[in-house]
Amino acid sequence: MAGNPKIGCDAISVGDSQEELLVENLTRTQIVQYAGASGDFNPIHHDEMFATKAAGYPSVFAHGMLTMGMTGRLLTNWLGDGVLREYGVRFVNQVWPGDTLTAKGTVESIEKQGDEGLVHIAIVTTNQKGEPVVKGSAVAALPSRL
Amino acid sequence: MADDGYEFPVDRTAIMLFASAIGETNPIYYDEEYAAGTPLGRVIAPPSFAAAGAHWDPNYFLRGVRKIPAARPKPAKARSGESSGSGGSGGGDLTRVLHGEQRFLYHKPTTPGMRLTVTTHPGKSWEKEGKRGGTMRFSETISEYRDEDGELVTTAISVGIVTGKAVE
Repeated sequence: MAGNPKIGCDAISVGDSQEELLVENLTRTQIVQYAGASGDFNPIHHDEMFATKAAGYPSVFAHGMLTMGMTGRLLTNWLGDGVLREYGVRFVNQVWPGDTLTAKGTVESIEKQGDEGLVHIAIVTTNQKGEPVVKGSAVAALPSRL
Repeated sequence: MADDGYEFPVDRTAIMLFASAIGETNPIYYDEEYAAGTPLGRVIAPPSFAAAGAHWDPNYFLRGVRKIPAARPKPAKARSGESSGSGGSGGGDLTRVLHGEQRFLYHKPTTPGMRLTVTTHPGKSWEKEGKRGGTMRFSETISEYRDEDGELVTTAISVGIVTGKAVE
């Protein structure tokens, strides 16, 4: 499972970081599109009456998994395709229509194993107010050099 | 105990639709010609695509109006009545259910043509007093996605939360 790395781990140092703009002004349309693509039709994500009147939220809000999916782009655009070994997040704040999200990854450690290395990344995605919406981590297997 | 599982056939259209929904433009998720020129050799699915197995999960509780039960359900043995499946969070009152955490372990890439079998079993469960959501019940669900040879492709660990009230 070599994948298609974009960078070798010898070119990465602990403390390096990378940012990715995930979405500007998130639309309800994209939330609905994600519901269709993922199969998660919880009405809290698309039915305004349900979200506000029945559940007591200010409006519909995005699936956590939509934010996780978008945050994955930080990792794949930075490190490559098919190189992840682990990727996990905690959903710490809701994402609302109109939000603008930016993901940031920081290299926490690199475990060298012969000609490759396991790169451990800490991840946080924040909204336009600077509040974290997901926090997580990932592990990628990268060759020493491309 | 894991349940009997369900089949999740992976196809390029489902991958493309999922990639579009998360705002991707990366050609590895749809362009066969591009993919053939990479070491991967073929289109792969984005890292969180396992969530889309929900479309095929007969017990998935957020399924909308879908009436199709499942593709070729595994024979015999009774299914457990309540498996939340991929990216799920445990059933019950939809106004109080949240997805707390999600983790994936990747064993090999997910590619079009794979016929995955997904089995799910419950993990830990615990309770916590939350400042924003009242008493919160957490429960972990572990799903294993295996290929036709029985080899693990992806492991998904989901933590669902049932809150006491709307999260402030």
